Amino acid sequence: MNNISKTLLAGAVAATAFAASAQASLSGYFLEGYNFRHQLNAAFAPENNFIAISPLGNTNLGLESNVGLSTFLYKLPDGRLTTFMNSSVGDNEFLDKLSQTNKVNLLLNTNILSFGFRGLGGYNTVGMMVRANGAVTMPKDLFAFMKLGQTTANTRYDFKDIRVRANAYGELALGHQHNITPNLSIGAKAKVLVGLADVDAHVNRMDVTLGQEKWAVNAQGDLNIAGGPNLTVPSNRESGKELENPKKANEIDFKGIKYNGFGIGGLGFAVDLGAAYKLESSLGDLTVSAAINDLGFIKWKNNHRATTSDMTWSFDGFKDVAISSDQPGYEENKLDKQIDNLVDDLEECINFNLVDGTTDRKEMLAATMHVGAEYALPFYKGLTAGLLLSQRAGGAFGWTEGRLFANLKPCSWFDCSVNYGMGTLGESLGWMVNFHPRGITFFVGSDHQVLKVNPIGIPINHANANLTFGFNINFGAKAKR
Amino acid sequence: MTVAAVVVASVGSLTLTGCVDHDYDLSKGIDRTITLGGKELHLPACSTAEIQMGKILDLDANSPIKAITSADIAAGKNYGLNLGDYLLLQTAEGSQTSVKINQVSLNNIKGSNSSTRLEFPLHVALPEIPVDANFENTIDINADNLPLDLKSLSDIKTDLTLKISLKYSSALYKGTLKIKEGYTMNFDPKWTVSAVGASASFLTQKDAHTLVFAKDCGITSSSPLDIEVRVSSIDLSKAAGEGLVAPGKFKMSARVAFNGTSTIDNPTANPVFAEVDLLTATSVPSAKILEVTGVVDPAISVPDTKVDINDIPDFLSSNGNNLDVANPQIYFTIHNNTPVAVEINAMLIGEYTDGTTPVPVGIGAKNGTQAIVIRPDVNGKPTVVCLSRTGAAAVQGVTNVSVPNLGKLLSNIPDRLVIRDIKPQVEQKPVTFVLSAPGSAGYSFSTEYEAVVPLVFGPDMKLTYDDSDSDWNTDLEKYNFNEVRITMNAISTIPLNMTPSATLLGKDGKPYANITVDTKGSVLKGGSLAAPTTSPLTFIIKSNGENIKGLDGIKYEFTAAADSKTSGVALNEGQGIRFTDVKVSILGGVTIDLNGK
Repeated sequence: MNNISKTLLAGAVAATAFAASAQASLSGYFLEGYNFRHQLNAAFAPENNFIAISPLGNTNLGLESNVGLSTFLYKLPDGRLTTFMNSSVGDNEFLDKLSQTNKVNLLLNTNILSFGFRGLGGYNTVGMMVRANGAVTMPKDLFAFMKLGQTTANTRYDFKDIRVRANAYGELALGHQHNITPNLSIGAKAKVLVGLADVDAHVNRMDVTLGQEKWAVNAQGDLNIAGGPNLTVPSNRESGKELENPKKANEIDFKGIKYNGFGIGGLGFAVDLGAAYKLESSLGDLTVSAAINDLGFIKWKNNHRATTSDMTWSFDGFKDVAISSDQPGYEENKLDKQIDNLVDDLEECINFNLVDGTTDRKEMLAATMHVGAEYALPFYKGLTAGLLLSQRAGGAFGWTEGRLFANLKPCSWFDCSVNYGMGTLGESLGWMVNFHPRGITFFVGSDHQVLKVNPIGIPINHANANLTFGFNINFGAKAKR
Repeated sequence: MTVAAVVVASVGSLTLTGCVDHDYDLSKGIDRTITLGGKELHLPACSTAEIQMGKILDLDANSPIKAITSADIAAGKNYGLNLGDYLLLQTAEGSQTSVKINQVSLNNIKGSNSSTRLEFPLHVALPEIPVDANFENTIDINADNLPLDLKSLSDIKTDLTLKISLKYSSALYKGTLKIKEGYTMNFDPKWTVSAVGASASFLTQKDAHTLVFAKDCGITSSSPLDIEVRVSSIDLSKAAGEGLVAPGKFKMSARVAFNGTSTIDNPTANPVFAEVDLLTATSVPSAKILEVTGVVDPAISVPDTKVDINDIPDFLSSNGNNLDVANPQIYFTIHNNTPVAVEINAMLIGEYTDGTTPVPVGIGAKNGTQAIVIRPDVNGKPTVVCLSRTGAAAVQGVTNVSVPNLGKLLSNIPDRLVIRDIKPQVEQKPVTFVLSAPGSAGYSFSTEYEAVVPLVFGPDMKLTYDDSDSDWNTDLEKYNFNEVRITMNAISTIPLNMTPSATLLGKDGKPYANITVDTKGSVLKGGSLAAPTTSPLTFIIKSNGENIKGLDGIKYEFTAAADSKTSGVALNEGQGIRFTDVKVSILGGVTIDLNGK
């Protein structure tokens, strides 16, 4: 792969490397020995008291997407690869692989310091971590436009929800789990969020009409950039740029954006709530659980907001194009000038103009809801089957999934899980192995086991990949199962 | 790249992966040939400003083709055209020729001498004794040195001095012989004479050819009486057999009759007769012809003239054209201050520098056209002759001569217009012609030429306007397309029907084989300022190759022709062509090879 291709692909991934609402691995949802399943459901208490220090203690890195390498690259008869824009790739062959909204999310959740201990009649957790989320969404129509151009005399495309979003914040979470009855437990977690930086560019509306008589673009978008007090987002005018077109004065000077040292960009609050109930019977135990996580917001300070002009750009042809310099109005009507004006008008339509001053902006977190059920086989309680239904809010970045689990808990110091999920991000195979002998816990797993990758590890089909690992120090006695 | 690669590597390495699909081995490279807008892409209807005739003709500042201005109209130099009408106007450097017949001094002039005896009776008792003294002398001219340009003479103005000397001899008388007052000299009636010099003091003019002594004039034996008479004209119309009797030969005989009274003093000592011999001697010391009335044929030599026609648009001089200029005009402005009328015959020849066979067109009666006669100037105003194809009057006050073949001369605008073999012929009718003194310029005959070709075409007009834009020198091997369809309406006020075509060119200047251009639609119909016409046009451009490498230019061609509806209308700077509803459709997309080398 040549350098440009590598850069494009790696860049696409890297662009999402500052995003996510990652939590613990779903594959550990039913593993009692997994110290961080309280992050999935606040009603789940770890077996051990534990302490996790540094990212080594718990890191969850994930890539979520409903597109993959095979969506955009195709094999040529000579064995080489080519892009979806190659004429040898059929229109439907490519477009049928796309969803209406195509997304790539990258999630990072890394531990700084976490510990848990029994007390106060239940189990208490304290966690400090950093979360980074990044996401890009592209509508199907955008690719159809590139691939097809005009298909009818008056072709319309809807480019809404083109979005690039990334944020990073720190989280201090205090949780408590309490067994109401021997079979019913509940839990709650309060989170204080410290915002570091947030960027959200969102094209809310972009109607593109390509007609034989007129081209038109009607677009409306917002761009919010928030960060600490050292963040400056200047306009062209504020940067002192000399502009031929005065209408560009308020446009953001992206090259002039500076962040001279991170600072606190915002504060927020969120809660996790959970409950679990165990039904015991001779046919086997059934534990049902439900949780809702990240129910809260961050209020960003020093938010720089820019909007598009909400105007309609239209082009109904070049008129009265002057051919010769001796024609009246040549300078205004020559083709070069008309093209320049056209481009200027289009830029005016889609470029972001800075709104004066900075504002506060409240942003809701992408809450996640889990509903689970685990059935322990009556003949061997070390083998359970589980079902987990998950729903991530977040508009275009959200997803819905159902996942079937087979959990094996053969002894007190080891358990593992294999699971299969199906949802809006496609199918996935997950797994986790969790070693938790006395004194330590080590776990590693993945919610999206990539089954087919290219030689450098990029998923061929849907680009879903996930890895969770951690090493914790346990202390105290294990809880009885 | 580094950060991105690390992230990719991290994800790849940290994720426990399944099987590796080497079909997606990116290290083998990706063919980045893309096709944009794979179905269709339509550019909304565009239009151009009017491309006016000035731009189409692309005239150089020095071009002889110009448009009629308001100033031209005010000055009457619009040649019957309207404001803005185009014409080719080329002025040639004229010539001026001296026309003269030199004065001639007649040779072979002979005057006679005479002796007349006068007998005075002395018996009369008078102080002076009178006696009649009547006699004749003759003058004969047999000159053979007249210019051959003189064909016939009916009257001549001369500078002829006649000297007559009177004296006497006598054995007896030694006194004074007086020619008495009233004594008459009768010259030839054809002559007009006058006394000149001292003679004028005693001679009076009785009529044009008679001089009379106004007083008594004495002659002594030692002092003769000399008479000097100037002959200023000779009327040859009344002298049969005299005058110009043959080319160069002049013959004339004239008599001078002397009649009157002479006296001598009465001598007292001698009572007998006194005999006195009166002696006369006649001579002509000079005789010049200053002016003639008659038929003359002076030589008039007009040199050939060449008019270079430069700086005209190439398409007007392309091979294969038939401009069928409706009414080209060539103006001869001739100052003829001679007294003679001159008939002109000449050849107009269009010459080409590319070896094309010259096109000759004869003018004048000898060449089958109406006679071109240049009359003497009247009040200094020249004669203006307009040679034109139709002979129709375009300008007031000129002599219009129809030269039907003049159109052939300009069916393809020549590089040079030559006026050759100009043979003026003097009309052989009597005129009064002043002969030139030595050193004088004589009469003048000057010519000026002006070719005026209004760009008004006849129904057989056909020309090809082509132009090219080449040496694009752009590497197009990375680009290709399937089909581009361009449709438009052409609104024309140009009075020509035009058929467009286009050919794409390769780097060798030859037609580019990988792309075909098919022109459909009707001919651009000719229109007018008052009634523009609209014609639809379609160009279908198809690429047949893998790319458009080597495409280096385009040649486009308009074959223009007139018909009965459009002929006779002048090209005007206000006319033009405008393209509206120009729609460009790209079918099958544009393919771009983004692979690096």
